[in-house]
Amino acid sequence: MTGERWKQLRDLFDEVLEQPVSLRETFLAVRTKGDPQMAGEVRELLASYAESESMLAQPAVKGLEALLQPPAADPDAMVRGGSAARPHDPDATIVAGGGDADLSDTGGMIGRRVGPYRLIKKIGSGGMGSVFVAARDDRQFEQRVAIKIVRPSMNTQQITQRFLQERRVLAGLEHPNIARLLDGGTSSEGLPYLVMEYVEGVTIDRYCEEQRLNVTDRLKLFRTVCDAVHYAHRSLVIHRDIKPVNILVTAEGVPKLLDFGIAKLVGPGTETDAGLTVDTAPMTPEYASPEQVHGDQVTTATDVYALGVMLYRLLTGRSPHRIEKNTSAALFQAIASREPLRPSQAVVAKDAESASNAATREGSPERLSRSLAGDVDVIILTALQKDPARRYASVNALSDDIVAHLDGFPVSAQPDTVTYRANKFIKRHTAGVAMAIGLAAALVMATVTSVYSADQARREKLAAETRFQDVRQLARFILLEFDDELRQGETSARKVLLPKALDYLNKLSVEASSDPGLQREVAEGYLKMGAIQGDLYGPNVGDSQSTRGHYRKALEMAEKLAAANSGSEADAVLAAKSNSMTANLMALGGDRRAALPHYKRALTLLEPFAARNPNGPPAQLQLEVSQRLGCVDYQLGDTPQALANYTRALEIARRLAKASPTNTRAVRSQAAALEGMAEVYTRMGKPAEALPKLTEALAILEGILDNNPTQPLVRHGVATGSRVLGDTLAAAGRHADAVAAFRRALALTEELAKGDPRNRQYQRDIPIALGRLADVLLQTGARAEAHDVTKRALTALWPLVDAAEPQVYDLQQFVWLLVTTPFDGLRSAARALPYAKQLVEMTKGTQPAMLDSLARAYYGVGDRSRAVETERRALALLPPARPGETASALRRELEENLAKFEGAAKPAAP
Amino acid sequence: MDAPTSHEITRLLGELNRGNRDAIDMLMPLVYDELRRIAGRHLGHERQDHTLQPTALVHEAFLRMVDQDSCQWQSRLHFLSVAATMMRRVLIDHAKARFRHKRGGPGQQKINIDDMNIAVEERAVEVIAIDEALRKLALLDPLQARVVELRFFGGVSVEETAQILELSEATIKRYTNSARAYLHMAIYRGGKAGA
Repeated sequence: MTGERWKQLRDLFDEVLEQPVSLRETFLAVRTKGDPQMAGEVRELLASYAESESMLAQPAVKGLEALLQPPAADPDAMVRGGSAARPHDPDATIVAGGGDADLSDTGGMIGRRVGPYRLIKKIGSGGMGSVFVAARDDRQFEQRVAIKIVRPSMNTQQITQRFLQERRVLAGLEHPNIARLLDGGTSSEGLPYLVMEYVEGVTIDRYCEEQRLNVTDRLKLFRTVCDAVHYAHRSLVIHRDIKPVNILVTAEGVPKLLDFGIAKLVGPGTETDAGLTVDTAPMTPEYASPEQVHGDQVTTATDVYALGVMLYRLLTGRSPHRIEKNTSAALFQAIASREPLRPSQAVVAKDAESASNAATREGSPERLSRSLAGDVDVIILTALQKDPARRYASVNALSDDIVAHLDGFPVSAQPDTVTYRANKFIKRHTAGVAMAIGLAAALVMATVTSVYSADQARREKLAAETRFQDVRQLARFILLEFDDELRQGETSARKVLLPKALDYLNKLSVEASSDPGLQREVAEGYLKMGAIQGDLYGPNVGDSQSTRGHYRKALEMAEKLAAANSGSEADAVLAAKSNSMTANLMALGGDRRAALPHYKRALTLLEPFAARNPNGPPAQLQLEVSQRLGCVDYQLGDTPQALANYTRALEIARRLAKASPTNTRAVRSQAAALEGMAEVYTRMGKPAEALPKLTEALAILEGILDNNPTQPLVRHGVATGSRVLGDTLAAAGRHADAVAAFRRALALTEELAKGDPRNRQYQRDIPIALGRLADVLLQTGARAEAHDVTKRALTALWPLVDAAEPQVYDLQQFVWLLVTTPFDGLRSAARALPYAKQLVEMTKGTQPAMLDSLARAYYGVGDRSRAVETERRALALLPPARPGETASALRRELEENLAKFEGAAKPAAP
Repeated sequence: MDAPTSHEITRLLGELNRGNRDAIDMLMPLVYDELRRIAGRHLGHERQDHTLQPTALVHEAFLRMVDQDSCQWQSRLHFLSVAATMMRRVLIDHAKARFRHKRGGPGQQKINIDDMNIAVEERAVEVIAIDEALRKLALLDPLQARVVELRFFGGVSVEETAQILELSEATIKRYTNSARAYLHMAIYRGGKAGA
């Protein structure tokens, strides 16, 4: 590979990594058209990236400290260090491996020594290696252990890596229900091996059958397994391969979890990377979760799902996946999209299997079905939700519900109706019910329970449920009602309330699957959450990564609701809102073309409802979407579309404002639409048409500000209006008036930033105003002040462009100032160049203005041929000038630049 | 550290600040020895949980080796830069020495698998492999390889790496991501991506 090739590969890899997992393959295919080799190499890089999470996570010296110790007199001392061996438990119990595996001693391993152990018998065989019973024969007594060793033929680096991984994982786990790691090392042939507790037992499904356990006993045994898995999760380990053959039960009835061979370490340090990780580990098809089938991110919810599949099997004797043809394609299809039959229904199928399954459980299929109906159905189906976010939030929550069910308490997964809880309560406390009647619900729970239940744990559980209801009320209030007031205020207050509200959402989303009302509430909650965390149009706390995730969840839920209830205005509005907010975020991230279909989808959803009720919520939203779409059209250079959308926005706003003059949002929207139209006219080179629009807009805004002097949003509006007025005045040649307008904009923005220093939007607005001011100051001949103002703008932009996720506009302005400022001390094309490249990369080369900036930067550093080539790309993106019409101002400017670059390039050519 | 040496190092860093790249060659052996000495001292104590922060190590070396009065701000960046290379060399030398000792040394018979600290050995193998793969990466893009050297071997922060190499922090992060993928591919996928 050449360096040039590597850099291309690397850049493409970076780009692909930024895409959502589901779009990466498509994106890659588009970007590598005609170069399948490149696509293959990027895929390999991505796979390597996914497998190498821990690789550079720690400084190199970590773990090697022992090497740097000063040499002692004994040369062996250095290598001796702490041995990994743990004291062996003489009672150590046992393993029996995977049943039908190939147990023949093909490698001639029996009798061999591995470290201090002698291999006695092969008991299991898997993909990477074999498991042997072994004994340590240098002791008085013979102690049996299980040794897992890589097969000689399989000793590749990748397999070795897995082995080391399993070892690292196991070394951190000490739990009575997890087979312990005793030792590990490399044999004299160089084969890595693990020494583990030898568990003598049978797989959990066989154990249940042989012991003919009833449903209650099966649930109890299963709960113990949950403990082990939960413990692993707490130790930041995801098992990823939970299934009956990996759980052995000893003669004493103790289940032991084995085989962490494909487990994955998670943790705070790896969280950001984990978000980008595609799971490439092998899996067992029947127990695979939808996210594993899709190749999406694997989380603790993946283990919750596998536990659900296993519980389904243990209780019903059947797989939850209903498939006609026994092919893996059919199985994957079922895992991905087919809802499993309720367990209580599955067991009454009229076939021989049902009878035999029931015989070992509760006797008859009908009795078995009765014991599963209700709680158990709900518990299993919650664990088996397709969407990980809707499953139990943790294995503990699953386990708690099983305990609650066994003890006759309400389970959290059940739809939380008053009658359901009352039923549970009456069942438990028949004598106490009379007392309960007539008291308020929360009080009932707290008081009566404390009287009738001495059991501390039970009381806490009820209290927790009551608290949950309180939290739900409180968070609903924060998110859905109080937030509109908070929006007017400071960012810090909103950020404080976030964790509580998010907690509420996550809990609710688990329960929402069967309740459209709750689904609506949750979807709306995610929208709000996203808006609070990163909607740059409103006051915000600047976390667009989480915002994207929240919006995705909301959009998915809302579109489903809208599809299910096509006549519902509320659902249409919610889906339109989700689309519109998703689009806003895309547009801000630089992907304006991707935003267009979401805006249009929103308008389509709203159209029929707005027509029926021209002054209702759909019309209000229609107005907002038209406005944003106009803005994006404008940014994409599509002036006719922009004008059309702004005009529609203005019509709706005028109608709404007329119908309700106290509707400040509608009043304000008139101003916004007018400003947008003015901006388009300015771009078209028609400042004379723009000015009256602007004057009207500003008059409206100043009027609102007079009535609401304390509202930041209004002040922000006036600041923006003044800036646009300044632009237009400047375009009309009235530079002195423009200076005054920009000064007004700057002063207002600085006040805003002072009042809420953490608001990124305000931080961004300051350099924008400064940049414009510098420009017009130059025109009026005030060079000294122009120089200072330019310098202030660059200083203010610096932290913004070096932020983790710089915004397109900031980069654009930074680059623009650096390449075009007339002051020699400030101009630097070399400094601008990397940022200009980043800018073009972020906007995927679709923005003529960004390409123009890059071309100017190339020209500035003397790379004229690239300057010409880039400027040509920019020009090619503009709509062709129509005959008879004058070219747009932008086109004229780009053409002039191109001529200049070409003129300069020609003499350089031979 | 003796005063003359401290003075010498300060002078060399000054040379480096003025653009004399030859000063690096003269600095390296001095920094190498000092880093080893400090690491040894840190780890020589009785403490059982030996941990070493390269940043702390380098910082201490800097304080000990460089005349603080005449020190310029850039000197710290230059020092970090040199020290990262040296940390890499110290670690790789020790890691390789350990295996030489194990394979060919006179104590071969005596060492049982059981006796070896396997965790250290695994880590040593990994770090040596990363070092080798990093050489391949350096042939493709020396700058990117340098980012990994500073961050991984030198423990230099993203911010300071950005300052040393005059790149944006976002670029440092991107380079680290693709380097990680490259290194893993070179090490575990048979070096298909090799130069």
